[in-house]
Parts: sequence; structure tokens; C-alpha cells
Amino acid sequence: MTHHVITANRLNDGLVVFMGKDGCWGNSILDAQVLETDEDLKVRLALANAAEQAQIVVGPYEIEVTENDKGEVRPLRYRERIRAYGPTTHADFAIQDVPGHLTHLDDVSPVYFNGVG
Amino acid sequence: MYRYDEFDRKFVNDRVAEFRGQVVRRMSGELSEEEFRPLRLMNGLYLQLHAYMLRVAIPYGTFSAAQMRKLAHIARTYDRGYGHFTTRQNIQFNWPKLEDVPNLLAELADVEMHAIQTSGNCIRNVTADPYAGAVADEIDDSRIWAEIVRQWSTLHPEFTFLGRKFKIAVSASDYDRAVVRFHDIGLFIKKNDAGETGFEVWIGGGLGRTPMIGKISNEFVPAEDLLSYLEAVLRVYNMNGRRDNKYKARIKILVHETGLDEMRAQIDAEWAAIKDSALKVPEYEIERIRAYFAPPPFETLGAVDRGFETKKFENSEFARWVSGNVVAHKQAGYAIVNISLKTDDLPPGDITADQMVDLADLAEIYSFDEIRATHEQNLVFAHVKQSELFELWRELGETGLAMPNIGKVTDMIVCPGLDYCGLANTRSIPVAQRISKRYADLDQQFDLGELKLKISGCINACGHHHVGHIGLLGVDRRGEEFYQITLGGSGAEDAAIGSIIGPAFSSADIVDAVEELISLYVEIRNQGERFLDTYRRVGAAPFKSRLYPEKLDAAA
Repeated sequence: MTHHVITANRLNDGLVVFMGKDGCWGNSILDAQVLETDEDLKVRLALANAAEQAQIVVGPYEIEVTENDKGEVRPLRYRERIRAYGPTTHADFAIQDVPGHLTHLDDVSPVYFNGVG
Repeated sequence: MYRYDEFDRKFVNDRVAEFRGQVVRRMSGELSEEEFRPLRLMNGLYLQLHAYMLRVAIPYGTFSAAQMRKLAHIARTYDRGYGHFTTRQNIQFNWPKLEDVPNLLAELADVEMHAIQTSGNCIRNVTADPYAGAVADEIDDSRIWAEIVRQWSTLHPEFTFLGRKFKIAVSASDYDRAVVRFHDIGLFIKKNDAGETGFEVWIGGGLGRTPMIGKISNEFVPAEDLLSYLEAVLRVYNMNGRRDNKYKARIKILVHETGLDEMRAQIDAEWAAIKDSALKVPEYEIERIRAYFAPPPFETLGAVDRGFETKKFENSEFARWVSGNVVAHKQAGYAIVNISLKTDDLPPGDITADQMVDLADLAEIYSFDEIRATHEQNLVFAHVKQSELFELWRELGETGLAMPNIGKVTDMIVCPGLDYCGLANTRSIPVAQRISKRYADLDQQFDLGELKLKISGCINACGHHHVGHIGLLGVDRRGEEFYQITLGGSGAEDAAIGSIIGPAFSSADIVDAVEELISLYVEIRNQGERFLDTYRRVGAAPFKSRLYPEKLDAAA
């Protein structure tokens, strides 16, 4: 089955958080608890909903993840990759250094007036 | 500029205190997210993809140097050093903490600013022509009337829980610089044959998933009856507008489903009942508001400044900036200066706190302490002496804001897209940045002339793609970012909704596709034709066959 991690936004600052192995919430997906069975997912979602009731997070939900060749957890969908790693347009806002995440303009070649260049 | 009276000041301060209490109750658990959400939205606070986002109102886009400095302070203290100007002449901050927002709002209140009615199903920040009070082609200063509408609509008890959001724009010119025809209500100030001031009222315009050009519901509403007429329109909408489906809840759907004649009849019946009520705007009140927007103390100057003409002759870069960004002023010897926020370094509409402070200083020196935000996510200094344009240009250059690309292909309206927005399907900013890099050559941009390219990351159309000469709409195709192209739209006086040209392009291919369209335009344009003019002359077919040649091969 597809593996999942649980994510939400933290109530007080709104930042993206992931549920870790100890049930605490952290900013890095690398520290998230990967859930491999439906049973684990169900238990952890209940815990996440309790965290919402306790004013820790807002709107928890599960996302699908894969592992890269280094064994690091990585969201399957690009929306969730942007949530996990930060906007792709501001290097300063990157949550972690992920190759290829930030927009690179190097491969765009300008067109010039009069065909020059 | 409008200044708060005692009522305004108390009202805004009370609202800050009220929201502070609501935040405390949210943090303590007394309010659930479900209960808190509508309260925070009424105060402009969203929860976006990465964090909370606060949208601050800039009524009709006009603000002062002191207010800009406060925005810079907020960017540094509560954000990450940036602000983002929007298509509603507002500014957004992308990283405030919930617990800090009450203090942030209290600081805004110190400079007569707030975030009330920048979200939620109410009458939103009223927008106006960014050249108001400065341009010769206007009948009146549209901000006077935008302010009257703002006062009427602020916390209007009957219209605080509408079926959906409601946007009003005001212009006093035949040139539409505020996308007036695409508002729930668009107002054009007119003079009748007797020389009296009134309003041509357009209703039911909008973008989003069902784009519609507004329709004229009344060709001339006398000025004193403006508020009763608006109230009648809102009341008919509030009573009859759909609430079963949020995508069909805007007034444009009601106008469309009811028919214009029936809508007019309903509005007129309502209007007749309330026309002669407390809603009549007395002349003295109009004059009281007008006084806030009195022209600044212009000097008596010649129409042409020799020093300015000489500088243009001597410095081609300055001349190019003047030709691209500077517009004629109604007062001899003055000019309107557009300041582009479409630079190489930042997302469209973004500005750093340092730049805000620099602009505040420059506005005090060169433009009577006044700044305007435009719906195209740029800024305007409305009243600059021609003789000081060169010095202003030099100083703008020092802070990285002398890009001469107003109205050109790189001056795009771009929504925040999936880099920030929780609703987006795709990113918008990176596509804009790639197009900007491809067309970075200014000679090329000037050769292409006016070309309005607009990008939305989802069907909600915050990037106004429907009214782009070229519009790009991001769509998710099996988990990949794709972009659909529309052609032939316009948000100006030649209003039109663009047509989809064909199947969407992948993120990798979209910039090449845009280049193909522009290349074809260059090949077939007649002398003086804009991209839009050429498209309207030749139709979609040549552009379609250029973009999808394989379809032609298959048909042959």
C-alpha cells in the first residue's frame, strides 16, 4: 500500500508541520512518522484530530509519500512538495535543501530584438 | 487624502480590540477553527499553504509615505521582509503569526489602516482609477465617490453576510484603468446633457470560473441617488442571489439567470421605495469628502520643461523609461509616474521592506506624499514635476524600481499560485519569471508594444487570465502542471473575454508556446497593431495552426 505521513498547519504561527514518531509536530518532513498500514494511519489520524482539539494544529490530513534513493521521505504530489519544502521562488524561504525544488531560470534563453543573440 | 475622523478611529480601534479577544479565545480553545474562520476572514486573515496571510486594505489604492513606512515596519517585524501588492489595490503579508496579528492590526490602526472587509462575503475594498485626480481624461476624481461608497459599505449591517463576496470599482474616464466592467458593480462617472454628475452603473461583471462582462443596469443615476441605487442592487442580490452553490452565488449568475430587463425592474422597484430616504447624499457631504481629495498645491509651470527634454535627449535609458512608464498629467509641467513591480528579482507585485522605505521617502520628495497601488500590481506617483523626473528615475534605479516595462509583455498580472495559495492547482510565479527572462531584452519588449499577459494558477482567476491579451490558466493534468492558453481578452475599455485556443501545454512547453504566439504576431502584424489588434483582425485560426501544426497535418 501507499505510505503516508500526517501533516497540518500549526495553530499559533500557521506553519506547515508533520507528525513525528513521538507524536510531536515538526517542520521537517524528514522527521515525520511514515505510516505503512491502514491501521497505523487510522490511529495516527485520531491522534492528529486530538491535537487539533487541543489547539496545537489546524486541519490535519494524510499525504502520500515515497522514499528517494537516500531513503528520505518525499511527498508524491507537487502541491505537497511545495508545502513540505517551501515556495519554489524564494531560496530564503526554503525549509530544506532539496535539489531541483527551487525554480531555475538558467535553461531559459532570452530572445533578442532583430534576432541578435 | 482621506483622514480618519473620530468615528473612524474609534471604530477601527474597537475592531482591533474585538479581534484580539477572538484570537485569545481561539488560542485557548474557546473557539474552534470552524467558529473562528469567518471571524478571521472578516479581518483579512487567511490560512494559506505555508502560513497565515493578512490582506491589508488600501481604499481605492491611495496611501501616504507614513503608511508605506508602517507597511515596511510590518514586513520586517511580522513578515519575512516583503509585501505583495494585489489586483484589488491591496497589500498582503504572507508570514504573520496568528498570535501577532492583533498587535499588527493595532500598528496599522496607528496610521489609519486596517484589514476589515478584505475577505469574507461582504462588500470588499472599493477600487478606483489609479490616475484619479491626475489625468486629464477624467470627469471627476473617482476616489471621492469610492470613499463615499466605502463609508456606506463599511460594516453595512444588511450586507455583512452576502451570498458571496461583492466588488465595486469606480472610474471617471472613458479609458478603463480599473477593470470596471468585470466587477459585481462597476461605476463610471458621467455628466448628462444638463452638466450634472451621475453614474453609469454596470452590474454582474466578474472573472472566476464563469467570466462575464457586466451589463449596464442604469445609464445615469444622479450623484445624490448613488447610495440608494447601490443599496437597491445589493438588496435584490442579497434577497434573490443563490446560496445553494458557492460557485453560482455571485451577482453575475443572478443577472444571467434573471435576465437584465427583469433585474432592472426589480432594482428600480426597490430603488423607488428608498430613493428619498436617509441614503440621499447631501451636497455638503459630497463637498466635505471632496475636500479630502483637493488637488495638491501645484506650481504654475510651463507645459514643457526644457531640462527634462534635454535629459531625454542625452540619456536614452531615461528616455525609454519616460516613454514606457510616464503618462501625461492634467497639470502643466507635471507627470504621472508608474513604478513597475515586475522586476527581475522578485515575484510580480512583490516589494521588499527596504524598497518600501525608499519609496516612502521618494513619495514625500517628489509626489506630495502620495502613492497609488494599481490593479496591475504596480505603484504610481501621481503628481511629479517634469523637472524632477530625471532625479526620481535615478533614485528609483538605486532601489531597483526603474524597470521601464509598464504595459509590456513582462508587466504581467500573476496570482501567487501554488507557491503560496491553498486553492491553486499550479504555480504561476515561476512561469512568469521564465517568460520575463525570455523577453528580458527591452528593445524586444518595446518592439512588441502593449501586450497584456496574465497568469492564474486556478480557475478562480485571481491572475485575471480571462482578460489577458494572452492569458494562461494553470490546470492539474494527472499530477502535473499544465497551462491552458486563452487569447483575445481585455480588461480595458475594449473589454473582452479571451477564448481558449486549444489543449493545454506542459510546464516545460508553455514558454515556447507563448513565444510561438508572439512570433506569429510579429510576422503578421500591421503597422501600429498591438497583439490584441492583430488577433482581432485575423482571428484565432492562424494562432491555432501555429501552436498545433500536427493537427493541420492530420487534417491535410
